Amino acid sequence: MSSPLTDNTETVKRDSVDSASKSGKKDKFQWWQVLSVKRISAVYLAILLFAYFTYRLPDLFLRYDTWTTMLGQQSITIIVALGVLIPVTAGVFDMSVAYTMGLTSTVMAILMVQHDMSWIVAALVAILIGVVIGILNGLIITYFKVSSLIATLGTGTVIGSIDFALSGGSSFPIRDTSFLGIGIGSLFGIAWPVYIALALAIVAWFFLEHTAVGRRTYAIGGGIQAARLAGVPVRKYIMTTLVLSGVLGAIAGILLTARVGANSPGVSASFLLPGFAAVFLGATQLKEGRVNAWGTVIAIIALAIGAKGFDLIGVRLWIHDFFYGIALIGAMAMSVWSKRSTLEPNGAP
Amino acid sequence: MSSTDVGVELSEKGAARGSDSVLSVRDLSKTFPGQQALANFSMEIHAGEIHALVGHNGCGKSTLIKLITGFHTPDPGATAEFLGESVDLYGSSAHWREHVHAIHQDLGLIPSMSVIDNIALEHGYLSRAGKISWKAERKRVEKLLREFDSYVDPRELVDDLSRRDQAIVAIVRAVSGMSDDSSGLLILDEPTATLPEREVQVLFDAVRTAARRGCAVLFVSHRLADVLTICDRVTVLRDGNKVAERSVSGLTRDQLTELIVGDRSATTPSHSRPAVDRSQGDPVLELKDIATEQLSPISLTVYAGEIVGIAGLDGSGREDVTRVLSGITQPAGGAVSVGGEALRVGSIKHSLDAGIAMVPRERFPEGLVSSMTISENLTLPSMGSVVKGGRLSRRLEVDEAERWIESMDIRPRLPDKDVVELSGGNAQKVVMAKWMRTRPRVVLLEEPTAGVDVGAKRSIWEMLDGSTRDGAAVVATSSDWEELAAHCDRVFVLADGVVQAVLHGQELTTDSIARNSMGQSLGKKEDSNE
Repeated sequence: MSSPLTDNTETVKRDSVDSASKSGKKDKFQWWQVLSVKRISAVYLAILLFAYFTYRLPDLFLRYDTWTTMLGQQSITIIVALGVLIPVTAGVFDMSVAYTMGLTSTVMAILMVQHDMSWIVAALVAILIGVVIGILNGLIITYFKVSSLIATLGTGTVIGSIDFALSGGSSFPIRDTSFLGIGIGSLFGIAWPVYIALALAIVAWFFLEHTAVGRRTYAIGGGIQAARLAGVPVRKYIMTTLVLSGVLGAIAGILLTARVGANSPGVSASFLLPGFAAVFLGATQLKEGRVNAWGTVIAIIALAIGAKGFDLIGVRLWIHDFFYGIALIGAMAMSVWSKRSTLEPNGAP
Repeated sequence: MSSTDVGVELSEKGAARGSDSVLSVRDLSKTFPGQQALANFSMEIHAGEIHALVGHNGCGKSTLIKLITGFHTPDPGATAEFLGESVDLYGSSAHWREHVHAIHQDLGLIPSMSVIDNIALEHGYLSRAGKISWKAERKRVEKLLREFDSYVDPRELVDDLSRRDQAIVAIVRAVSGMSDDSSGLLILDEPTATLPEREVQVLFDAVRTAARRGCAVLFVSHRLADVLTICDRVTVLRDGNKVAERSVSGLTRDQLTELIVGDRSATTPSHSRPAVDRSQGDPVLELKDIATEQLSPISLTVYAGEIVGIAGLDGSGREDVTRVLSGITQPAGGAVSVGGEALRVGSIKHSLDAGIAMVPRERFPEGLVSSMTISENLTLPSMGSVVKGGRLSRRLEVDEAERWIESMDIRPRLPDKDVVELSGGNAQKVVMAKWMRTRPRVVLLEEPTAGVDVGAKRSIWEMLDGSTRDGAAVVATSSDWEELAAHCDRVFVLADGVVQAVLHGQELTTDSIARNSMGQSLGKKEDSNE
């Protein structure tokens, strides 16, 4: 039963006095708070960047296909970032997710081109690889107690090397038009992968924010000891987040292959940093101090507008990495700073 | 509290081996908001003297150490002399403090570094032309270690040393940091709490060596045996007041106990639990011969509606009982049953399934998830009632949180408040509410009211009374003996892992807990660490 141990008349009296002021407080939540700079600073950042580049490059920047191309590109980043997000929720880093994407892309291309396999079977193999990588990461982290950052940096590097060994650095063009259709085909002018990425973001959001499972995952990330004492099976949960991360890496790999029409050797690393930057910049959005799915998506779009703008202005290619590197540090500093202001235990001894 | 005997005793020289005053403090006081931790304390300690500082938890011992080492600033008006010169107690970086060295229970060594490095970190390396002269340094450290009867290779890692050699390294480091003639003050804070008896003797030898070299030693200990064995003089603190200072020679164990405990009959609050015959209830929790590294086999039965306290000093094994029952620690042996059914010990999940709830010592990070709100923490152990159709219902969750916030009077009354922003008392109420919500059959508590204000203390015990009326069994460990005496039906008193007494009814007083917690006699401490 859930009825608390009721006290005495004194409590009741206090309650009636207080409930008035309390409901007053609850009603104070206004629609404009949704738009406060504190909650969605990245949206304002995006608007500023957008305005600036529109002013600088009125012809190039406002073109429709600039936007559809960018969204198509970012759909893969969104999926990788969700793969980063889910383990981070449980306080675990997965640095290998982008390399999982690269490896599954290579495996798909080889299976379809050299072994004439149907894309559905190849995709299933890719997802299986993602699951296996997730389990491996999970075992190393939960049973051998290697710090997740180090463990997945290691597995990521190994995965990258296997990727290179398989492809030999060359790409294998795919001719299966039904498969290529997934990457190129569009609805209302927006490519399929964008819808898939948004659908995955909705699923991740629902599970993390609106189920008991998601709540327990956040609890592990926020206080592993308290979560364990509250009966959360910590190992099982961490394992599951890493398997999900592996699967998301594989889905990103499948869609990347479909978009490019081949495997893309050496591209993995360039997805990792934007993914991490978005997750931590996302933690400063919507739910302050807590990583979350929509914050991540918003951050990716804002960062992409910036990167795209610099691209079009004609700054050289290195600006991408430069921009994302700065963004990652800035986002981390911001989230630590915003936590510091709230995380100092007040009266705790 | 009277301090009349202080003046008389001060003139007595006692068995002090030297007569040069190392540190003398006068009129040292420290007031924290709402509490005077130390009042007009004066003492003098001489070179070569081993001076014991004893008293209960909260008597002001640690405050005194922190004032001497400069961690706290005393109230205005205090004066001090160090080696005959008037010194500043108010600046934490004053030069004289370089000659004051405190060694705490954890020794403060860096396990992954060598003995040489650990010692040199304190005073710098011997070097020639900017290059560390390893050979000279090694010789120097070796010589120091020999003086203290330790024959370890200075190049060994501290981690690889025995507990005893580690303690010696800590002492060597302290005295080597002092001026050449070792005239300084060495403060040992509970140095024997984690040492087996045999090694305690070796540590004593090292402390005596330090004193012989001219160090003044302030020896803080809970163990009367330590005081009677090694110390020359003893200062007793009670509730922030110095109640006695005298020579140890001729002092008996009983006299010392009397000085520490004092006559509390006037101040002890009367037992507030109604004397009900609890044995009428059914046994809810039964422990049979549960043992751990620190705990000799203990058996106890807790009946429905009963509150059982477990008292003991730090290192007595008092929390091993709650740690084993909650599934955190795997016991070395023994059996537990809850409601007649055997419990598989050593698993948090099995303990929770059996209806055992644990309110741990540390609110963060054990009791609460610091990044979460009141309502999120409340529902964490059992979310079934707030999930509707597979979806976590925010409305149900907030409604439930509001009910608990109201009945527990948690402030502020905001379900969405982050728990880190709560005061100690309110945070503890959230931990309590979170477990009461699961309607546990057994409630375990560690230091349930540490850092909690008086009002919250009352509501926490009221809440426990309430749950015992519903038939729960409560086991509380605490170093606050007044509280245990006032609220428990029975109290088990542990010393060195052995039950010294089971107190109930008229026998259950703060005094009797204090007496029994000091253990039986010299040298009886079991050598369980080896």
